[in-house]
Amino acid sequence: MKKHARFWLGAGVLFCASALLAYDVGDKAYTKKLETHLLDQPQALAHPVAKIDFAVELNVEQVNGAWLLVSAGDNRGWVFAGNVAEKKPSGDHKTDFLPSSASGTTASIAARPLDEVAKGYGDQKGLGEAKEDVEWVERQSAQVDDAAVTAYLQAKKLGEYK
Amino acid sequence: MKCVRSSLAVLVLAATAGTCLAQFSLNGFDPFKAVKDAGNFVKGVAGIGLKEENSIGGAVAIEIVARFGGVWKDAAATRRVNLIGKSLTRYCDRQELNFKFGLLNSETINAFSAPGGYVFITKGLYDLVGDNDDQLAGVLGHEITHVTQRHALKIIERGQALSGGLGVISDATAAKNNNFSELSGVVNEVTTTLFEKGFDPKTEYAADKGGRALAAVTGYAPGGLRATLIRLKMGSAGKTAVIFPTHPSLAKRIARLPEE
Repeated sequence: MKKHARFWLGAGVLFCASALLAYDVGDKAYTKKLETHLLDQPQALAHPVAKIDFAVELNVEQVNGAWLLVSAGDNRGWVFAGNVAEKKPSGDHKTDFLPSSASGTTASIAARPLDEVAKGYGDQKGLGEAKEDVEWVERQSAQVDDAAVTAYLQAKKLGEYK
Repeated sequence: MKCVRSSLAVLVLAATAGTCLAQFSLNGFDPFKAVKDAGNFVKGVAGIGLKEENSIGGAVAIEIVARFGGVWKDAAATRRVNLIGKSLTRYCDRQELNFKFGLLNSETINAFSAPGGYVFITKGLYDLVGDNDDQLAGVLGHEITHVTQRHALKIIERGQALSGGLGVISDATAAKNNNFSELSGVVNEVTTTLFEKGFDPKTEYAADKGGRALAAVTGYAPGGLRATLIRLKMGSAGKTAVIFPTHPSLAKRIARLPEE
């Protein structure tokens, strides 16, 4: 009984996720990561069959829950809906990604410490203690790196690991 | 089948649309209308570059921390907030940002975000959601959406379009010379909105909608944000919920969010 409840809860969340994303066959989606892998199956650990650049238009050919079968030119494969965007990102933003993110799955985790201008602002305003607090948050946050987030998603069966 | 799915999607979107709320911030001001009103708006939505965004965001983060009792330095709680927050941002629409999540040492119930990817929630709000990851994800998703949709930056861009340029704050020495007043003015625009006026209802609804969708695609229960709003509406013993007068009411926000 408990198992059934868990199943329906999971199914409900998946359904809601796909409904909220609202992709359908024939729609367009856009890559939003520096590199997006297309997979041979709708599973996070499936084999990559293609690597797509940032801000590329994809044609949605099939929808399977939160997974989309997409194509771009000669490339075709599955991608998790959370890894693409409904609106095309500005190509200008490609240069905003940190170099270290080029080979990773995301750029959002890479370290980017408190900006020097912001530090100067804190000093000039006499907010040195608050500035140090923000830097403490930066350090704590940097400890939760890409690998830690992936492990968390896998352990909790979240996102593409559901 | 396609029609069924489309209809359901439309229903869900319609129910959330005009809607989604944000109440962890504040109110007062309509950046969308402001942009429309600004006939000489030349920088556009993407007018502020990432370097400037990080400078402004860092300064705003310092102001938030200074005004709300400093950072609550609980390493375990901070790690939990970062794990959930970064799980959400893995699927957000601005992958170039480096998000960081912190807790404020305040018993009030509130949450804030700053350009560049700073997200803070108060200890009071953290305690309110307790060990419910879905509710915490709903709150964080709301704040993340404020950042990814550049809500604070739109306010600045509107102000700058009316009065001049933004170039000064891209100078690394800006805060140390006579450009400090320029940066200070920009930061003040944001903090006035965050602490006093608040975002307008449309902006809050957009953050609610985006936050809910982000939580859902990440695998959290979509109803987490709504559940938190209901708990806020019911009140929490001894805590002070900061809900600014021009905010959309909690009742309106709850009504706009689908039940589930």
